Amino acid sequence: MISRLAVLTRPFADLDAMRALRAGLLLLLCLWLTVAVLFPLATLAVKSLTAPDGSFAGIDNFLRYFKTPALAASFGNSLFVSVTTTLAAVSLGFAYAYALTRTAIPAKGFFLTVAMMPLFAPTLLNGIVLVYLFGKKGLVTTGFFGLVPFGLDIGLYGAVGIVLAEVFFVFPQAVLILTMALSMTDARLYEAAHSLGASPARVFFTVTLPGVRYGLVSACFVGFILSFTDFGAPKVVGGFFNVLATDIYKQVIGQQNFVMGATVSMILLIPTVLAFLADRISRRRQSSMIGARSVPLVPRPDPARDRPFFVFCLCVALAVISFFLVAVFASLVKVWPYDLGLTLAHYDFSGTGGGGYRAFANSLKMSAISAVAGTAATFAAAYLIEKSPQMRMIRQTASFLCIVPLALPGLVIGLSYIFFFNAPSFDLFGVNVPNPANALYGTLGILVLSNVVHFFTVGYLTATTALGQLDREFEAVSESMGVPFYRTFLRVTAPVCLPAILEIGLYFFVNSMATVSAVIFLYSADIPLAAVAVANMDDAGDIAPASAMSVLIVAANVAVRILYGLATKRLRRRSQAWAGKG
Amino acid sequence: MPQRLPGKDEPYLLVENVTKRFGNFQALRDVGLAALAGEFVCILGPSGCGKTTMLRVVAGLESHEAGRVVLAGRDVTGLPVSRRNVGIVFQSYALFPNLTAAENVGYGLVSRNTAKGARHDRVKELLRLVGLTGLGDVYPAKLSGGQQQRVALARAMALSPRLLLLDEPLSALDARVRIMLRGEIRALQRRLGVTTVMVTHDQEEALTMADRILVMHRGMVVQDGTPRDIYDTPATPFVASFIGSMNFISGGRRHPDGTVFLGSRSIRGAHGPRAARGARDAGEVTLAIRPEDVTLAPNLTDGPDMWPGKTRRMEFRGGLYRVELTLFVGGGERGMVADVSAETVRRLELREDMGLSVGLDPDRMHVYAQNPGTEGA
Repeated sequence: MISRLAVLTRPFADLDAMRALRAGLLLLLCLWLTVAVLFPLATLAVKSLTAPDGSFAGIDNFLRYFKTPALAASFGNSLFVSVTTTLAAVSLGFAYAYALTRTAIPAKGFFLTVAMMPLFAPTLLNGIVLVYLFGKKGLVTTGFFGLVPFGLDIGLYGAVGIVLAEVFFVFPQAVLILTMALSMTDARLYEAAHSLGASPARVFFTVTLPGVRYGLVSACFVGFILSFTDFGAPKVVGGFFNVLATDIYKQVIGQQNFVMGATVSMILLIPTVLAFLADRISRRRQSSMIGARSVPLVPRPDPARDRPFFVFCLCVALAVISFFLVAVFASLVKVWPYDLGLTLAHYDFSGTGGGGYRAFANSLKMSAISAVAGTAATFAAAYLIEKSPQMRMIRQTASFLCIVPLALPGLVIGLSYIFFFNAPSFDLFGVNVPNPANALYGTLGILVLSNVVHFFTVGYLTATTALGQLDREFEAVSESMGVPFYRTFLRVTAPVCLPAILEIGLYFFVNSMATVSAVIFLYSADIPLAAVAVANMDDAGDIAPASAMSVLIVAANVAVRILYGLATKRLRRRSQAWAGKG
Repeated sequence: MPQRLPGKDEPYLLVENVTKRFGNFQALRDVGLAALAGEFVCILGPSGCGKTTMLRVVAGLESHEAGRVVLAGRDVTGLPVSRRNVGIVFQSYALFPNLTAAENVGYGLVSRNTAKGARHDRVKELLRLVGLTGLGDVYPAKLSGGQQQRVALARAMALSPRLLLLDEPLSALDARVRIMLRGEIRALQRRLGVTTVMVTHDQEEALTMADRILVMHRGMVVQDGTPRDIYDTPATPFVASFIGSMNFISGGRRHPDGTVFLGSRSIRGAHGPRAARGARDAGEVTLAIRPEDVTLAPNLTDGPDMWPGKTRRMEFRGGLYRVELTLFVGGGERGMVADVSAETVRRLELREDMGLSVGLDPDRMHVYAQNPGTEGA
């Protein structure tokens, strides 16, 4: 019997070629990210240093920006709005996340799901719903059309409206980050504090807060970046209160002043990049705080604490739900506020611009392609970077390039893509080089590419985390058996990571549906998009159809989310056999 | 292809003068290793001594700056792991969680274009070999730690490798399973006759399983020998204290004629204390003796190797006692420990703080240069 073992000798697969293939793919990844991220960014930067006639202007554009009071005010406005938003959203988010992780309230799953709802909507909708609630003829302003004896005018248009809309936008992100931070703790620390006789307040300030401080810092920076760079909400409810994001749009679309658009983009980019760097640093610290031996904290019921938190969560959840109900209601009302009869006429889109159902279909198509392409690109990138042996230099370069897109606001990506892809040729040191990327301009391809790049980093980080949980030696084992890496990738790595892969796909789809900032510069008249249609219809005063289109976007996202839920549920049942004991 | 296989007494695996650094850290300094065909060699050392790096160099998973690796008469230096025909069992086992035990074992066979029937038979045979008959359809997560270990072993053996490499294969298991698997792995290795290199930090594992042990410390091989050699004649104080326990008695002196003195008494005996390397010159030396070699006798027992002493604390360890002693040497005192049987304790009516005589057999003593611990650095 033993002699038969020796009969099966092994012919050697050529795995040197496999290593070369990996290196080649990594190089390709770096090249792609350079072309899709760095080159456009460079053209944007060059543009901001160029005079309108094409000559080198140095920092003249920036000086002109800060010397023009109407423009310079936007910078302060943007800072004010985003700092206020961040403080409010992170406070609310902290209380909400605390309730979900550290109290024994019921219906936590429901509360978490509801808190994530705003992620499905374009931020334009946040503004639109606020108009229906607090605008001149809003529900609250008019005292529910006179049903209650008094109305309340909060002076929506301007800073108030923007902050309200942005809080709604940032809140889910803050809850996500803080839930994560609050659930990463060691129950032993609390047991130790209690056994030493510390009061609940002292425990909170000496154990809880220090434990989540990096999470809090991270939530603040993310909140700042999101509200600082958002375009949709200020577009709808900004009124005469200018912020950087709307300035870029006005300069480029309104005045066709591309140079000033590029200059404002650079001014938008600088605080964003600083906040981004600070966030990366604090996240790195957070992850090193929790040891492998920690015991998870399971909160015990305490009515005195749980009841107020439950009421709080209920209020927030009701606010979110009624927000979406108002959106649906507004899209169905015949003529707000004069004829409150219901109709589906606004879902016809025939009398308005924007593209109607063609735009919606385009958006579905674009988002589906972005989801597939984005998931494939991010997962492959994470795999090559995480699981390739040696080649440290190129892996670190690639990993850096993969993180860069997170620091780039959608408007910056969109504008830099105009500059880069629209140019038929580049003048490099006097040599005229034709631009092959120009072929992509005005196609669905550039829209997909901008989405893949825009949302690349989050997908990449999700994939990296999932891959990091696999045994480090899978690749070594396969190699020792002469199995090519792509076989192990297809047979083991990808199946085990399937939940993460679906999550990344969902993320790409939902965000591609809702985003307006990057694509608003890039869509062509032949390829209208749903979220852009919302902006254009709102511009034209067709607010009810704009609302209807937003509802369609949210509905599509919710439908895809439900599909995702069903798929993961089936997956979990199927993979229960190998996912762990019990 | 015609290949000259090494003769019976030539090493089947030969690693020579291997040097490896990670940045500023010198992981391996000029290390070597030789294993005869079918031999079971253990690389033993504390964590960070370079033993796993050494194994990965042999496997071809890690590059190295200098030195060469010869396997079955063929220089494989620079060849990747896939070209070396080695089977590896990792500390974590690295079993594919979404594949059953049988699929894991047959993983490497699939890409060999082996006929399906032959593959199936082979997997079944391997599972039987490691005692997992009937568990082929089970996923790794549902197997016990010991069973997972066996799957990993079967998978490593599936392609009939020239060399089996085990990286701390038992460290993730609990004590009872570990002891059982020690015997099983060794028996299987003997049966298949596969040359094996195992890395471990567990001295007991190395002593019970290996034909030969390489002790590593700070990136160097400090001793290479059979388990008996290593235990009985540890080359350095580091080896002496890492494998088993050892009493070090400082303040000895060696006269130019070779006689070793402790206090004013010379240590005599049929052969005299063994002189370890580096301690042959005259001067200050440290004497060493294993706790189980220390004998106890009633107070004031006369004899050339008897020393006056006193018990301090006694620790009950089941079949034996570990007795902490104070030894009176010249005008000074030395602390040491002795392992004595329960029977001896009863016979001598040993109590704490009791005067007695301590026998230090010169045949069982070692002599090292003055500063133990600095050697092997």
